[in-house]
Amino acid sequence: MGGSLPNKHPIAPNAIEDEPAGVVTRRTVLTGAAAVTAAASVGTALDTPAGAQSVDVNSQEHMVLFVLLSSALTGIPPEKLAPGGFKLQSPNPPAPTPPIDLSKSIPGFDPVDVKREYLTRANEKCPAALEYLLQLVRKNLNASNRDEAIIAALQFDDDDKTKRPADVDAQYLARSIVLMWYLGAWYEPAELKALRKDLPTDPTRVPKFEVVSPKAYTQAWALRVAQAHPMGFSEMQFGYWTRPPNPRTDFI
Amino acid sequence: MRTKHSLAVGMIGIFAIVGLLGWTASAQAPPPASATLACDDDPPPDTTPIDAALLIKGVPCAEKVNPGSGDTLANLQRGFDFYSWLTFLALNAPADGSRIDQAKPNTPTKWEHPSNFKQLLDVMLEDGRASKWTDKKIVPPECLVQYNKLKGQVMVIEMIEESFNEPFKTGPLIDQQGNYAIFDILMNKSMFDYIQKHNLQSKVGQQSKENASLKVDFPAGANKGQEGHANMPPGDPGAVMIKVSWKVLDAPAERQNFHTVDALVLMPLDPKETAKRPCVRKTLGLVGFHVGHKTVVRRQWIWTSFEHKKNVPEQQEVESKQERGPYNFYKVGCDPTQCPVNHTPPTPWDPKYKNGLKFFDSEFRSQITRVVPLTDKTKDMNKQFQDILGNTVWKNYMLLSTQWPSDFNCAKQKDASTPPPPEPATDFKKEPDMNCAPAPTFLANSTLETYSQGTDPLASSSCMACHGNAVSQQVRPPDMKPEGFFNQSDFTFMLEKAQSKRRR
Repeated sequence: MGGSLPNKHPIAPNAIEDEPAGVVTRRTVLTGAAAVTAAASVGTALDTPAGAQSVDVNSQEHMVLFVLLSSALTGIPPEKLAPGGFKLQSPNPPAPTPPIDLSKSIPGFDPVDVKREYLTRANEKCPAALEYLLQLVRKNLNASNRDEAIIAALQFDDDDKTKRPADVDAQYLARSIVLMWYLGAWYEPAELKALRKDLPTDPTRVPKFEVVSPKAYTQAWALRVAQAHPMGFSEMQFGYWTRPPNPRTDFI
Repeated sequence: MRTKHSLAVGMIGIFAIVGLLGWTASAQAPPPASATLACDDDPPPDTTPIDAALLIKGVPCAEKVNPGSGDTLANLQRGFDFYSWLTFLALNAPADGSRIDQAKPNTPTKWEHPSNFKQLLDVMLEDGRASKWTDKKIVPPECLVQYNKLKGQVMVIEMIEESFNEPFKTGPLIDQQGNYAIFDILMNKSMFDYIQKHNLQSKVGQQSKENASLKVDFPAGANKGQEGHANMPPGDPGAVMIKVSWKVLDAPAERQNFHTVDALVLMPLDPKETAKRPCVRKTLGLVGFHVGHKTVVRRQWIWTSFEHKKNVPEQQEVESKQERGPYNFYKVGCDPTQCPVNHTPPTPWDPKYKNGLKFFDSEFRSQITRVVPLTDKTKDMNKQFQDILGNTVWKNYMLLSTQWPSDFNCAKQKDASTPPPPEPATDFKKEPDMNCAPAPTFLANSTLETYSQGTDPLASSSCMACHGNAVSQQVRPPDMKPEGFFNQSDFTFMLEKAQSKRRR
């Protein structure tokens, strides 16, 4: 499976599964996510992460970058990943962006704030690769095709000799980030790398993972995209099961 | 199904028995005009200085909050906490119209006055019969002699399981003197009127075919200028419900630290007992105070939680040995092997007639800590409000937090179905989150959600996440499709208490 992630397209209310290209559906969102995790095509590497500053999970700027990165990787709009007023600001609002002024941009406020757990986990486990990814977003911040540019930079084959170890590390961290958002679980990038190598000879190989937290379990997007909820946790009206789910636009 | 005739005969029979028992409540004095609790439709914003001028404000008809700049979540939380304090002060202001900063420990409050709130069991009457807001208090026969002797100047609490056993039957709370903590639930006139209008005080009424298509949707308060303001009678805050917790105060010295009431407590019915239910006279001290208020842009209600500051230490204070006891529900210095923290009591949990309000195990005391600490900002606001309450007992109460639906667009969303439902037309079918992102996600009162404190989704106490699952006793008629039936009781469990037959 391959191809770039369709993004920034309007979501059609009451759209059915087999929709024309350009419309985000459950299938295209999941396909997009899988496309990143199974990325196999060649992209361009980021020149250097040397200028990147270390990631501060309490920095508003870094959180904005992380949300933009996550949105590009998952295909889910940043306002949904970071509810409560996520907003990119230009230096002279209300002038339209770009250019984006990160210092004035708002990562949203929401009491659940699962994005902070994900940023923290990525930073604890792979600080250098995370720096690389946020720098990638920063580099493409004002690009009209920001999401596509981010994905293109991370789509290359493991055997690509033009890539440095840092490029490969960032690519696998990107996969882990996608899986965190969709499954609420942390898959070590090294484990994903080993899995890719092992699967051809051992199709029964199951990757190790760890649910990030009880909160992350309740916030996983895979079930939300399916207009469902995790087992044992629902915030829907008691009795919702007697009727079809609300339109998909209510969920994503 | 019962016929109207048999119901009517039953009702006559009950009234006849009541008459024979002399079950006529003493007349209550008419309420002074100042006792009436009208809401303020232009409440002060949270930027208002916290000084004595706030002590004479009314209950806000609705919240007035401002996201401000910077930390939006914190700014809004401050606004809701400010609203909670205004609500607490107004509800607990003396019923005689005097100032709360001059109140004595036992000065009756406005919420205790029958012109403002009714106890749940005074609405959910036996046989599900209807009543009027102005009806006199129905005093259980076991308490009647004492009640008349005291000329009705006493609170009557008729205990049921919910009066001693915490939500989800997680167990009772036993104070450091070995007494049960006692819980009571009340509603305001707005809720009462809605219940009577739709015959929801009756189990049979809830189950009627006419109510099968009813979407229970209590009135919502609104400030001046807000949508829905014109629909509300002046001074009507919309639906407000209160849940309180009391501590039995046997020692006179203790009574100076609490707001107190003189109470007749009718013990819960024990079907195994042949003796008459004891009705015991006790001085009760207020230890917990919940308020739920539905407003036009917070249709998931606003949830306020106060408690006495000497109830329990925070867990982090215990770990750093910073407890400042004595506490009502914690013994400082007790070894955890002897006093396991936050454990439920041994069974049986039901009070026994012979023990009165003492727990059967005379050695057992609850050892409770607060698992989730108050935020520094809430502590700071508490201090500012406590400082304006003079030397009254009210300075001993603290706000834990206010839970509010933080997704603004979701919270004010209306039901767009055809034909349009009556106002406030709350959309209860929102998905995936009908609670609209409660902030904070978890909130527990150490006396009312003692055993479900914490931050684990589903398992830990969240006002909205719990009350969002409340249903009524409505039933789907055979000719109604399942998807056409809607059973949801608008964030209150009160409707579960509607009766169809005698309780005793």
